Amino acid sequence: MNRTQKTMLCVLVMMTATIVMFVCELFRLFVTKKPYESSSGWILSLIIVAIIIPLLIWVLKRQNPKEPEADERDKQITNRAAMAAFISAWIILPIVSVIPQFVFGNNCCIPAWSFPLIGMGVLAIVSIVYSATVLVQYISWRGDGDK
Amino acid sequence: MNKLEKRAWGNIGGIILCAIIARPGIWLMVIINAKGPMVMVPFWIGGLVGGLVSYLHNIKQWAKLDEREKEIATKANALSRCVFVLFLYCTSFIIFFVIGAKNPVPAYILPALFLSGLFLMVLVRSAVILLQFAKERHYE
Repeated sequence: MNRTQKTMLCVLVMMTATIVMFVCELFRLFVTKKPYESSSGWILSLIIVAIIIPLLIWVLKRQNPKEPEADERDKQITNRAAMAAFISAWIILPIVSVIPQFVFGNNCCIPAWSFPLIGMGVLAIVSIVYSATVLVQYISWRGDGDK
Repeated sequence: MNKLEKRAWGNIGGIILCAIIARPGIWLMVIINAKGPMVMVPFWIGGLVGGLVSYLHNIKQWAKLDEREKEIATKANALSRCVFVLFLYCTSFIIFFVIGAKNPVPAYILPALFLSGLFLMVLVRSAVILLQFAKERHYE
C-alpha cells in the first residue's frame, strides 16, 4: 500500500466514526430524548480513539522500501476523486439546506448549534466520498493489473 | 480576449443580472404570497441541473485550453472552492457565537447561505481569472 491509500483508509475510518457518533447523538437528542450520559459518551470516544491512534501511527510510520511510492497515476486518481467529491457536495449541500423547512414546517427555526454541525456532517460525507473513490479506483486498477 | 476571460466576464455579468432580477423576483413572491420551500423547488432544480450541465460542458471545453490557461483556471477553481468552504464555515460559526448556541435561527437562512456562497464562489473565480490575465499582460 502506498501513502495515499493508507491516508485515504485512515480518513475513511475516521469520517465513518464521526458520522456514526453524529447519528447516535441526533438519535439520542430527537428520538429517545434521553439526557446526556457521560459514561456512554466516554466509552464511545475511547473506542474511537483506540481505533484511530493505531491507524494514525500506521499512516505516519516511515514507508517501507518494499512498499510502492506515489506516482503520476496517484495524481490522476486523486484528481478524479476530487471531482467526485465536488459533485457530491454540489448535490448534498442544497438538499441538506432545505431539509429543515420540509421536516419542521415553513416558519420553523433551528438552533444555532446545528449550523456548524450541518457543515461538519457535510464535510464528513464529502470526505467519505473522496477517500472511498480513491480506494475503489486503486482496487479496480489492481484488478485490471491482475488480468 | 481569450475564451476563459470571456467566460469570466460572462459570469460577472450573470451575477449582476441575477442581482437586478432578484428585486422584481422578491416583489413577485410578495404579490403571490409565497409560502414555504415548495415555491422555490422549480428554481432549485433548474439551477442544479443548469449548474451540472455547465460543469460538464466546462470539462469538455477544458481540452481546448492551452497549458497556461489551464494553470490559471486550476488556480482560480482551487481558490474559489476554498473561499466557498471558508464562507460557509465562518458564517456558521459567526451565527453560532453571535446569536448564541441555543437560540433559534430561521431555517431559510441555510439555503440563503448556500446561495450566497455560490455567488461568491463564481465571483471570486471570475475575478481571479481576470486578475491573473491582467497581471500577465502587465508584465509583458
